[in-house]
Amino acid sequence: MFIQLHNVNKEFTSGKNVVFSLRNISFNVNKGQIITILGPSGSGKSTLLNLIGGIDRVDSGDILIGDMNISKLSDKDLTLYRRNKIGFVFQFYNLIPNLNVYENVEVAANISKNPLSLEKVLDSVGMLDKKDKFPQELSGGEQQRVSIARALAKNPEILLCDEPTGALDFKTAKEILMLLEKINKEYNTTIFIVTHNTAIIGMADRIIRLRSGEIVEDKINSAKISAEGVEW
Amino acid sequence: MVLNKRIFRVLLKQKAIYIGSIVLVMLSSLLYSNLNIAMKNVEKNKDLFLEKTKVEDAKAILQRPIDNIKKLEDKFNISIEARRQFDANISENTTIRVFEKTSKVNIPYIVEGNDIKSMNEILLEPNFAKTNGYNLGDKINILDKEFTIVGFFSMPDYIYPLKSEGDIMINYKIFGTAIISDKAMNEMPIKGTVYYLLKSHSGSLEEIKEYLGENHFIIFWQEINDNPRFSFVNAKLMGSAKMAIALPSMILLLTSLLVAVVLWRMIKTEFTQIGTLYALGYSKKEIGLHYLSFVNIIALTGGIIGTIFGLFLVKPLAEYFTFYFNIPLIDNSFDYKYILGSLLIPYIFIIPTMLIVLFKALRYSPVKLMRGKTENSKVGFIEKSLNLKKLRFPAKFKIREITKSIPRLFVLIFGITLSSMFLLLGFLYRNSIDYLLNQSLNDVFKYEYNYVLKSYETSNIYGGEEYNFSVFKVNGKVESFVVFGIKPNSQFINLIDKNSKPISEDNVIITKPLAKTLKVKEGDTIVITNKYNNDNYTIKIDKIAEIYTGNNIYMPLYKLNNLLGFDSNSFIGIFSKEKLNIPEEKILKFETKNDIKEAFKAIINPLKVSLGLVSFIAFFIALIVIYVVTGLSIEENKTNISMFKILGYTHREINDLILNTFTIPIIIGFVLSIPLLIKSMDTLLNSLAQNIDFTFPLKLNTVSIILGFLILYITFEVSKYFSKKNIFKIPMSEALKTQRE
Repeated sequence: MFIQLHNVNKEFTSGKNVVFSLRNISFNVNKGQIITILGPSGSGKSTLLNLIGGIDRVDSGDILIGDMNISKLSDKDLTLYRRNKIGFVFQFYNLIPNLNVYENVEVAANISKNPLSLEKVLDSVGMLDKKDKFPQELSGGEQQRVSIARALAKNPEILLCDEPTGALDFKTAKEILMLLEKINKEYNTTIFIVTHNTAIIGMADRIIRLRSGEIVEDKINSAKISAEGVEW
Repeated sequence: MVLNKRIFRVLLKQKAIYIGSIVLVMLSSLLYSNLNIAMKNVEKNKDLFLEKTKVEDAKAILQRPIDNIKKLEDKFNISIEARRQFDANISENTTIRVFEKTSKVNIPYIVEGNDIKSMNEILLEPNFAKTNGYNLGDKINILDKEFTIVGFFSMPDYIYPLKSEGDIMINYKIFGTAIISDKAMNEMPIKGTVYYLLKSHSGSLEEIKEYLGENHFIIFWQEINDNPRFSFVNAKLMGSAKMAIALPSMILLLTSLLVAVVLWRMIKTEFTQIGTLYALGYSKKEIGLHYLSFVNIIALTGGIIGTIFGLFLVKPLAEYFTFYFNIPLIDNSFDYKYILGSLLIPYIFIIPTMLIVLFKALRYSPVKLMRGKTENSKVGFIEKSLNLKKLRFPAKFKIREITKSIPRLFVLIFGITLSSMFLLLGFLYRNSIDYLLNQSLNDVFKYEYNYVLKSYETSNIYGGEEYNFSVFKVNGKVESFVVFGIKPNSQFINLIDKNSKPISEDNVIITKPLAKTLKVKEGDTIVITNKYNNDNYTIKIDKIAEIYTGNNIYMPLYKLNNLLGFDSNSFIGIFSKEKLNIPEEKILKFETKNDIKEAFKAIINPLKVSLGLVSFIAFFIALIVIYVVTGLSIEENKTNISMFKILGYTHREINDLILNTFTIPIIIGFVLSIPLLIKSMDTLLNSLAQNIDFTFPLKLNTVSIILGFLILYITFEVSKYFSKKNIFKIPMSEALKTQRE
């Protein structure tokens, strides 16, 4: 198994109350799978993504990526883990406004040991011809493509996408989903997609549904369709 | 207004930035109130003192003494008083100049103790007494006569008690003045020099001067404004007064720009809030007043604290100046005009810049503001036109960051330039004095002893090298300068041109400061007027000497004597390597090179404190400016920094990207400060050149520049150290928060 979660717990305090954000989460993921994580607001989807991405720590339990237990890593090693293995895609892109498209992707390649060719990455997300444009000159969909290119440039093993289509219209959102599918096939990247949109589950290999910090459904998608066929 | 409740919350949230701005305002108010009030106090006390002591209009040494002073006084409506003086060594290195007490002109003002009543009583100059450990009631031995110190005095023609007129700085360790009664003077073993103090009641000295010239033959004539022991005070006060305006103004200008940049940043991040307030029905005026409250707090807090500190420091500064100038503090009061000014000036500077920023924001429609989108969201011309393709990513990021906000860049460079100028000021002063000391004293003037005789002689039986001099003026340009007649191939005066090549003494040579003031070039002809008899002479300037002390012209001895109609061998002064055996009664003035050296060295000591203070202010300004600008950059890059952390950048890599961005602008600011400092000091000294007869050879050597830069670099590192903590504190969730907005 590529990714293993064992009894992962994460809690946070709200006023005087301790609230479980995640409770006894356990599941395994194979390399190269597309996993969608569904659930209502506050169900713990983003927290789960943050824990796998190494930007937050578990309160108890273990997360193993390959042979590495990231719950036991020091801050420094956790930084190296994010640097070498993880790519993030956000709902609002988080591009640096005063850097152009090429430079925004270069932000990630700059710290990577084995970065992919930036031209190739930009070409694969369809943004090579706009590499000198600044984020303000791009549409939402184009900005998300750049954001994906930035995540890809490091050649990560895991791509974590938090509501990647949440701010996009149907047509653009579908293009982004197709792009993610293409990346999954081309680079054998394991992709987690956190979403509210139930239609997206059609393109996933695996569907995990959360409610109040607990897994209420974890199933293999036996009727997987291509991203192009996803409709809502 | 309920909105104003948030002011302190906002200030607390970004306290470092606002405290920095308040400290800068405080510093300017402190300097403005302190320097101006102290300066006014010194000036007021000087005027009061000169009036009380009936300062002379001129002094004259005559070949033939005046027999009937009363007759001349009535005839020319003038007060005339003869005064005797002599120099005596009271220890190996300390000389005391003893004067006879006067009662009509230059009346001594008793600062402490009593006036002299008997023959064995003496008055001492207070700073000399303090420096050398003399107290009231102590005994002092002068030429084997014992005197009791009964009082301390100030005298108007010696408010800046230089030993020799060629000196620049006073040194109380080696020179002081004293007053004894006329009876005691009669009993002294040496006769001393007699000269006449003149105070005109009609305002004109021309008639008496003409009369004395014709009937008594003037050897030496000096009007009070040509007396450096008097005029240096004016020059110094003028210089300080200019600094009193310039220094705080520059700091305030910097502060207002800094505050404008800080508030523009704040307003920009609050566009949505401003738009919402607009939409809720708040008027532009109400919103504007709310944001002006931030400026009000900065200006008012800084102004009040600065003014209070400034007022506390008025007395010490005034005392420092009066110690320096030997002017008694007769009346110590505050000029309320400057207190008010000190409180209002921050507003005058900051409010207009703030209004510009506010108007810029408030002209957008509520919808535009609420969307947080303005024309600023467009890509700028500079960003578009930069071609950074060949650079590595960190360099690209830093250049983009630098060019992101031109006003911020300008404030940073301006702040660094200003603080570097303050920082280098001390080095400039020190290097220049060192250069002056070496160049003037070792390279140009080769004599060890300089004697001025009481009357002209034609045959040098004493040894050394004889010279002559007379005092001239150029009408409307220079009130007083000395023309020396020196021996061709002089052994003791070694004049050099700008290429450091020796100039033959056969030429008529003008010193650089005088050439600058008269605006003459080599080959020009000038008309000079003798100050003693008003005769005009035309001379051609052959060469300009690269020498910085003295408003002087040098020409061959015979040429000067011919010009003045003297015997071609006439002389009144002697330069020498060894001490000469000249009878005391023949000597008018005697100085050693050691005295001059000591005086030069004494320049450094009193300046150490003030230059140290200026360096500290410089360090502070640089620290605040760098910290505030870096703070703004961190604030603006919060999401990016968080992003970098998520992407896997280490702290060191993030610190390098964010904090080292400003290395280049800091270097640019420092480099700019060097010519700007030299140019501004040159302008300041030129504006004072009328009153003082030396020009500073503004020199700044490489070691000083490197040292200055090192200090600035340390400041930068200190600022980075504080900023690193702020970067460290930014959580990775900052970038995730943006998702939820």
